[in-house]
Amino acid sequence: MSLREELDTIPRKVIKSIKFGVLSPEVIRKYSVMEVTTSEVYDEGGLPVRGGISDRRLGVAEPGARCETCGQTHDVCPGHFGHIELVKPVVHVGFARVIYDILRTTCPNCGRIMLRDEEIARYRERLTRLSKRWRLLAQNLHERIRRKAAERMTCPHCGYKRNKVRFERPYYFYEETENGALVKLDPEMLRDRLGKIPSEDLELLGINPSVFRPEWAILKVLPVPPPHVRPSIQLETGIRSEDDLTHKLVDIIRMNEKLKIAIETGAPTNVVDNLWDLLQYHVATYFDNELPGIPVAKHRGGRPLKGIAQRLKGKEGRFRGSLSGKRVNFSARTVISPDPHISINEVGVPTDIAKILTVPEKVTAWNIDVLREYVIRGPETWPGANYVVTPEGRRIDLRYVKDRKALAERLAPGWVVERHLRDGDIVLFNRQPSLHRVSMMGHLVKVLPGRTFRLHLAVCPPYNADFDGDEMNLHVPQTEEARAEARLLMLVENHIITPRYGGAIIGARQDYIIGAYLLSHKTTFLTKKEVAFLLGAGKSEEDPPEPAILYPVELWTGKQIISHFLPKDFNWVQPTAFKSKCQDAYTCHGDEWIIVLNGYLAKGVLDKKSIGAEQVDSLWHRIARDYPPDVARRWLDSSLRLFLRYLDLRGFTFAMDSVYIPTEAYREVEEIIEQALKKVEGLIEDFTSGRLEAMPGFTVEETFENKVTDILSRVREDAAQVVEKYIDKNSEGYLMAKTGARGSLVNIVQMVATLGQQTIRGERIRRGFRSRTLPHFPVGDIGAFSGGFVKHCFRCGLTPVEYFFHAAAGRDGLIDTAVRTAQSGYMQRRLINALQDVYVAYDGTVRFGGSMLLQPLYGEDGVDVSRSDHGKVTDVKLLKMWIR
Amino acid sequence: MSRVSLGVREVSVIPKEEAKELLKRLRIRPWQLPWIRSSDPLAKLVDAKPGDVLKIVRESPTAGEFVVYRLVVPG
Ligand SMILES: [Mg+2]
Ligand SMILES: [Zn+2]
Ligand SMILES: [Zn+2]
Repeated sequence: MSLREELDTIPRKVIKSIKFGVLSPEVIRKYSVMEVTTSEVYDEGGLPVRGGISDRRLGVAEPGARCETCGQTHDVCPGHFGHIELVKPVVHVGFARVIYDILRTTCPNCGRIMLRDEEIARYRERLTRLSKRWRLLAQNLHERIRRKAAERMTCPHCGYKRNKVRFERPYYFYEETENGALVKLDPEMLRDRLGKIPSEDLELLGINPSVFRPEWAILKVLPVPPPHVRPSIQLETGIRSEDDLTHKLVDIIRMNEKLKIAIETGAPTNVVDNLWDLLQYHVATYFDNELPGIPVAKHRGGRPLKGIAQRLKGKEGRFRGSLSGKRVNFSARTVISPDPHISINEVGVPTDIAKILTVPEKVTAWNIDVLREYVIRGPETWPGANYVVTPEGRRIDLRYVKDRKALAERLAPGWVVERHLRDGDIVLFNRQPSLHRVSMMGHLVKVLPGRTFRLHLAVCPPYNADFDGDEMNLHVPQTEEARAEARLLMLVENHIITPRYGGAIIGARQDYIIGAYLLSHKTTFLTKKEVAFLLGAGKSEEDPPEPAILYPVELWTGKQIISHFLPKDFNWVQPTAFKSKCQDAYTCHGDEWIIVLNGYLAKGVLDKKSIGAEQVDSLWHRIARDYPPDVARRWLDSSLRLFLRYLDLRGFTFAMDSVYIPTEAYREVEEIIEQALKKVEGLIEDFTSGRLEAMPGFTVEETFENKVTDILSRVREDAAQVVEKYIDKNSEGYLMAKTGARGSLVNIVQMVATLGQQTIRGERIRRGFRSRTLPHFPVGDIGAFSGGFVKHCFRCGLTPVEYFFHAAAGRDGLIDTAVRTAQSGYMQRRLINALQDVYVAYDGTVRFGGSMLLQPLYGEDGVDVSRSDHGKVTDVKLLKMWIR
Repeated sequence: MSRVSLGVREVSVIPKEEAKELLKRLRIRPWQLPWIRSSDPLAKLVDAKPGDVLKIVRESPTAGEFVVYRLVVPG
């Protein structure tokens, strides 16, 4: 029988509703197959003691033995509950809060709710009205009723004057007498009080008495789960190791026995009470071993025992760890590394992984030859196959087939071959944390040698990946439907525009940008050989354009090569990062504006603003938006390879010479620092002499700090202007900063002029030694240098003290990012859990789990941002341009 | 009297017929609409009673102006 058929034989039922309630002692006894009466677990022979916690009547979890209740073996016997009769009742910690709520709203004498008859009638009437239509509002009313009843101290029914009940977590209850003394309420008293409350009154408090009577929250009988819930494990040494729950249950039984003996022998009350309290402790920690206010129950080794709550709670708990976080087959995980030669749509998969991941392929007349070949090659050689499934559904493991040739011959339409992953297969590729939908995209497989997944550099931003050891996951869809969905909806080229803001998230970065700039530069001329080389890199199949210069040698401009790859009907005008004097594109003689006419880059250099990722209204954004995804992707693939190949040809080195400014520039920087220091000294004098006046809303100290920080942070800005004036505009550092390839002017200033003020949490450095930051400064020093001002630059070298402050500020940044990611991760989890049932329906409305309506129109304008021009359906300016 | 802008431009209780029409168009039952308490200042402004449907026109950063409907609930 195939799996599908087997599933069809399972009887299915539709769940109409789920009701949560509490088991009554009678139900627990009825469910129970035996009472556990002894704390002995095994006898000398290693056999389970009858009436003990491992009694065979509870079921068997280990193979070989037979259950004494149902007579079945371990794989069929579902296990059967037993029970423990507690000598004295104890509070169920999970209901302590509920017990408290009931106690403070009811009369301890007659058990009625502390409300007058007419109030009861009124509330009951309102509740029946509300519960029909406003279930959520009914809950609010219950809360109001509770508050009202808790206020009243004299019972309207019997006139009894009650005392205030105090609850002390986790399970102690006291009564406050008139003279202020606290009288302990033991569980027996609690049970008496709770038992007196009439069921009709409970309804007013929001309790359904048919599934929960309050006295059931006081445990007299404890259910004992079968060994399936708490299996013991046999170590190789033959020693049996019991589950934490079993240990805990043994503790409970032992304490119960002691208490019983103490009562029977007529021990003094305080001894009995102590034992009773210990029983309460063990029962409480059996449920939850992380209760506040009581010590954690521990193993002999000191390891805390796992209570029932601990099995369910937290990251590794049943919900997050076992139900939401299941492990899956047909997946792989390894380190990622960059590969600029593959397409952005592709992912490089190591052969070792391709030999393990398989795709089930149905044998047809068209693929039978290939699949036969795969079967013969088997699991060891790629591309081969790992399994063959016969039409009857029998899986044949090719590892154990001696004559694969014979098996391959038997292959016929209707069989299924689980063949190795091969080039062109669609897979899902993912990097945690999966914060948005582009954290998991469809890639086409490219099987490559090596042991890492290869990823195109332009797809790093959506995954937020880098190559400092990042690992990523890969999943192979196993059905035709899943593969079709992945190909059509998840393929990388369909996610160039992000749903976050409607701009391209995939695009040129770093080397690509500087390469594109250099190639598009006016001074770039290329020989025939170089042109052939570059067009080859872009995988062009068309003839090269006519050379721009014919004599004495044929030369092409870089712009010609870039134009060669642009769509022939593409028109675009935009300013570059080098725009300074020109206000109009068409009268500009430099390369300050980009002009593309019918696919010809007539003017302008390429930079981050035009081809970079996350740039709205850019050349690349237009190509990505106005052309089909595959056209845009092909342009990006070939152009990026082209830019990188040109950078390889030309060479690009960042060295000491790249961050050079002449001596007079240093003199100017020195002057700026000098001036600032002088100003700070003046401020210090004003401050220490008490002449400094406080700014409104600040103390004098704060005013001083603000002013000093202001002066010192301006140093870097002023130095930046000097650097901008003197630095070689063709130096690699400046070009990288200006084109947006990497770094900024601030980085250059720090390398070449001065590091400036170092800050911790946005303030000057203050902490350290008493009245000073480091022992290198005089006591009480509040000057610029002791506050973390670094006058030197990286090129000139830092003093040890400066180095220390710089490291401190750097560490502050690291801590900041660590704290931020932790906080935003938690917020994200809560949002995801709260909003997981929200969806956009086919009529454009936003609904919540098929019931509540949230928005009559998605986003109030009905726009799918990933299909928009940064949030707008169409760009009116562009429409005008096209029409004209 | 000073006014505080909540981005709300217009509030009104819509007639029962119109409410029925709306619910039919959205294919929902009354309680599936977003709720507003009858004690809410906005509901008080138009003297709305539980069971009424409010039509609220408010400013929207994406659509300029947007209409939402709310079911008035007791409280
Ligand atoms: Mg990393
Ligand atoms: Zn059994
Ligand atoms: Zn009473």
